[in-house]
Amino acid sequence: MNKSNEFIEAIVHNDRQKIQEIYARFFPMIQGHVLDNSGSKEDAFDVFQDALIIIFEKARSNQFTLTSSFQTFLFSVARFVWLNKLKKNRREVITSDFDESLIDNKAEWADMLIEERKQRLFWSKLNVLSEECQRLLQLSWKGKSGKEIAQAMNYSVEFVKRKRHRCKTALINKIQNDTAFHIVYEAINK
Amino acid sequence: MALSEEILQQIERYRLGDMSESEISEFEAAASTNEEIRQQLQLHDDLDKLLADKDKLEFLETLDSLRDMPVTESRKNNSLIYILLAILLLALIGVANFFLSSEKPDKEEEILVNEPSRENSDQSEVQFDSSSRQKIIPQVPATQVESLPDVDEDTPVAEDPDPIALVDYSINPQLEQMIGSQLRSSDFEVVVTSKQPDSQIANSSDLINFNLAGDVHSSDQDHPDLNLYIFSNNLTAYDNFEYLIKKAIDVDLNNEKATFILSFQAALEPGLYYYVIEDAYSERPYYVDKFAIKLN
Repeated sequence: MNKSNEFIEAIVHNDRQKIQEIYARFFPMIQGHVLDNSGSKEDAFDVFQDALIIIFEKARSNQFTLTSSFQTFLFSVARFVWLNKLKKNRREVITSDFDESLIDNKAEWADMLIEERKQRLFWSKLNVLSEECQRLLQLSWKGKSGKEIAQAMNYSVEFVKRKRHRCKTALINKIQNDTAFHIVYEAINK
Repeated sequence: MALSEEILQQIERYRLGDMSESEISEFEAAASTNEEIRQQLQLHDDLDKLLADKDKLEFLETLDSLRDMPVTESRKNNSLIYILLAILLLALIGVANFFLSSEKPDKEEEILVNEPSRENSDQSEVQFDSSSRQKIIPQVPATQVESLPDVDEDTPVAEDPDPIALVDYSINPQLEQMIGSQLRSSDFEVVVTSKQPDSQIANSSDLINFNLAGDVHSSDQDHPDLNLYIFSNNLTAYDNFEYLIKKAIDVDLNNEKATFILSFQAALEPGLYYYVIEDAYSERPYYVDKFAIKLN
């Protein structure tokens, strides 16, 4: 397996060490591009995350073949993500020589991007819930049954059910109170 | 997209399959005409989809962990920026040192400032000398020191020129929205007849008297067990359900009228507080209001 496909495999299988390598090798260039185009370091990290999540989704869908080097592909996706954001914010863009042809179906990619932004918003809010809620929801998404969660957290099974509802309500409130929520859902409903 | 707690409960019951056939039909009919319910259902679907996607969540966890990793800059020439940043940092450290050394005198310096020979100076306020930007510690005569309350050794002395101004009375928009809302269910309604007013206290450590009275209106003779929770105005307090005080409300049934009186003392610092009356079992809120505690 060549290095490019190794990186794709690492993303699909969540190989933390290899993903750190991807970050160390390619993030500085993406950051350079974003900073050159009126973005901040925080924007650059967002773009990098969005790009990797899109590649993760594409790669695990089994309808994906890498036709360029990983670096070219990652930069093309990152550039697409950043252009998309700039277009929304109407900021000036400096042209660069990334290969746009790799982004074959722009509408489909744009939908994917919205989906990723939505999920990243959910994820960011999940991380600001109380530790108790985070633990409960984490046990839940890791496939533990109500009984197992009750044992792990020293709750009754009935309380796990009520607590899960309370945590989810708190999560939904946090999501809905974020300005990004309205932007994402407006884009979805367009 | 602010839906009532009752509708949110219905959505949850609908999604958990806890509804009867007739309730499902009724709920689906309401959802087909109510855009907000439809959007809320979509949000729940989206959230559940993510929460069920273990691989994705673990991948997001990995991506988040990258945030703390150091990055090598690829910029062409950042040396000038670094030099400027270094100069700025050194200047800031210098300024910070200057203020720290002038604003936080050690104990020996404070004792010297409190010497009796300076008893006649103004003792009422902390002042700033605008020419030197140095804080002047208030002069307390030795005879007054004994009457002062015990203060922890680490507590900064006279650091804050106006402690009242630092109290955070900002509102919690989520709870504000619930004040005066129709929170009653089809079966119960809590009507507060005597609200907790704003309180004035002389010292931050003073207790306040919390008093609340009301009626519980119900469609039958039954009524729910109620709890009262007091939350700070912190934006995450209610979301995370981190209450400061919880009290069970005893409801009296006299002449077929359900009433309650709640009265207790509480140690709360100056600030803005919200109280929520909830059904102890379903945790459905029935009443929300707020009160402030101010320093005299």
